[in-house]
Amino acid sequence: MRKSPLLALSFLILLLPSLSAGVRHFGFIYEAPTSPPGAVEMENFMTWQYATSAERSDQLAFRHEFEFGVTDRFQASIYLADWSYQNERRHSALRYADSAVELIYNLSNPVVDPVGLSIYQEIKGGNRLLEWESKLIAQKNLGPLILAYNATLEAVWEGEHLSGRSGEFQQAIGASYELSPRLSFGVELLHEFLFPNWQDEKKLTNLFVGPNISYRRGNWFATIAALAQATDTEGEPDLQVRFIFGVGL
Amino acid sequence: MDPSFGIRRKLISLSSRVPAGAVCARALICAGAAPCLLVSCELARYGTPPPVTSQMAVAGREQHVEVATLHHGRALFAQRCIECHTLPPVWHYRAEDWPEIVNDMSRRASLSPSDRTAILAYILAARREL
Repeated sequence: MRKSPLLALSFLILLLPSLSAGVRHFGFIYEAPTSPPGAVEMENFMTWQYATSAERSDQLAFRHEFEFGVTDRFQASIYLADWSYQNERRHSALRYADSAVELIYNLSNPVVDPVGLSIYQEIKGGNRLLEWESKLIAQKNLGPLILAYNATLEAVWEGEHLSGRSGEFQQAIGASYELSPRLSFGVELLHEFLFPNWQDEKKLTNLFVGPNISYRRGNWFATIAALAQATDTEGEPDLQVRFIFGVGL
Repeated sequence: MDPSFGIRRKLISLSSRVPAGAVCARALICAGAAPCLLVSCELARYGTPPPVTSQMAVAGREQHVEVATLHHGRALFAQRCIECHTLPPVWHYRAEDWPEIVNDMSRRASLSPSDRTAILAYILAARREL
């Protein structure tokens, strides 16, 4: 009997009219195409970060996002809430982190143009947190193969009076091969340069690499990607697994 | 004298000059190049959706389809379909299957009836050109 609400919800999702697009082939990489005008989609992210170091504990992070296709080239999204469950050694905690607005403008098409390009801007605000994230998204589709590249610049102000500051430059590259219009798999690589206090004194870099798989049917899709840390940076997760479930509304 | 002697001597002198690491690297590059070549050949079969040609336009007029509609259809085909999956080549499905495929996908891709007509007109015109 307890399973009935969940079953009813699943049934309702399957019955929803298919009105949207915006399938994600990658877990940690954005793609250049934007949603069609009038499309509305809900995406739920779940990211598990596993760490063995004493500085960091396991974390389960969630994101609930609504995505709107505004024009053929412009897409806007709202992150209703980013929240996490952290399993620390002394105690466990559930905490709200932030909400955000994300805007993507598509400049060129990855099929007919030499390279598909999009620019991305995200502004995030939370409890003693302000984050500004800009991204250049490049993509090339070669038949059933999708090649994607993201260059991200991130500035964070946090803490009391937002006095703590840090920055990050991130490069991500990935490939996804479509076995069929419904199923694709691939690999993604994430290279991070961390600038605590906007300084590069510590020369902190992280490299993560791992596989991804994506399945879509009707008006929903599910993507899972796992990234293992190839470097040995203290305080960074050894393994990250992200699951994304999107449904057109 | 053995005719292959000269070649063997050349190979021996070459191998004595090239370090083992470089030989391994070259072998790895050659081994990697073969699958890359195969994948490239496979991908070359797909290419970009064919541009609207004058022949397509002439054939389109006979079917009462404007050139502008074909251009619009190509643009929509290249833009809307890739939001969910990679673009299938126009030859991938039979001409009689395309109307149902476009119809099935139209709600997901937010296509209006005129968008649907334009995409289908372009696909069928491009298919006839093959």
